[in-house]
Amino acid sequence: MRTLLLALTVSLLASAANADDPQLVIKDHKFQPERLEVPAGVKFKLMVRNNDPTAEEFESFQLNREKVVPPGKEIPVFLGPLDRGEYPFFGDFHQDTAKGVIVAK
Amino acid sequence: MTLYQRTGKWILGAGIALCVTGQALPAKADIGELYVYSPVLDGAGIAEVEYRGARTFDSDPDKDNAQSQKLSLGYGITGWWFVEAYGQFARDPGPGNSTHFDGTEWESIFQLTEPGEYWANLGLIAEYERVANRKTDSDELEFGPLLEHDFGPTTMDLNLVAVRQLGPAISERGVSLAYRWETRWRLFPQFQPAIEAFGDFGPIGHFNPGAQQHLLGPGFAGKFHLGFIPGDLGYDVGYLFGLTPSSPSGTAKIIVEYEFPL
Repeated sequence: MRTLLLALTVSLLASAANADDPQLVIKDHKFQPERLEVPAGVKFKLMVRNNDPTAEEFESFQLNREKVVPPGKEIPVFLGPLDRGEYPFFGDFHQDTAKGVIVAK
Repeated sequence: MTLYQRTGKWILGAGIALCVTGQALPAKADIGELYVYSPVLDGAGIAEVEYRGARTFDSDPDKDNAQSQKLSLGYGITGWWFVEAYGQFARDPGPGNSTHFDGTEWESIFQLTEPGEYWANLGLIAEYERVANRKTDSDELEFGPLLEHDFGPTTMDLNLVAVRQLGPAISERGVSLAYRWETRWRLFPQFQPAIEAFGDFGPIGHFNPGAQQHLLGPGFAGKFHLGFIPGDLGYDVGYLFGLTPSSPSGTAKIIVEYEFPL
């Protein structure tokens, strides 16, 4: 039980935002920036913040991620290591406007 | 109280409940549970309406035409906790039986790690099934870990579930160990081929290979966005071949679900 609680605590701490983490902001049902460059071959934590008054879902089939971002909240999305290339993502609740791409270089 | 403290107490409580009550399932793969759970949840505020159906095929009438039909409603309470309630109709195998209301199920899925944070994603499932006829059937308590790992373009999920029967009509003693396994190729969102396996080893410490049921076969899953209608429509179909003499020769399954923000 101690081991489990320790692992879960470490998990919680690892989820906290770091100034060096790449960030996406959702505003007016659009991602900012819409093109985000990240280093290839490296595991990283993408922070996605939703500044809209309604929920959005960060989704990418290529990245195999799908997660609701509540209004006014920020979530971590653990990604990588990625091969060089482009990985499209979108907001599932506003697909017409919430689109973007992560570029691994 | 933090998630971790709550989860820890829940694990302890469920473990005690499983150990104290003392009885278990026969080693039959439950055709109402032919679904491999992911420990990754979509998040808070996502609702789900789901249908699950399954039917067995066998030249032996005693294993032929067992059916299960389930309807459920689910909801993401938080980013790490999803609850779902089921109503189940079933038909026992063999000639002359009819479909009847079998009971209700109450299920919780807990996501314990963020996807991709560690080598494997980890979650827990806890489920209580209340049967409609406690004179002939038994309630069940299920609890176990959910594991997931991506291998390139494929995703592997493994569910290990401890099952204990509760109530007066218990058929076997002990905690039974069941498994559900899937490796899925993420080809397209709308079409993802998979290999799946389901089975039950029977009561821990009294495994009887001759009485165990193990099923293995291909499946296909996918989901579609519905345009201007909010949400996604998903499907999961498959045909499973029996691997042991106790297993039905074949079992067909179909799952359809509609997920939407609420």
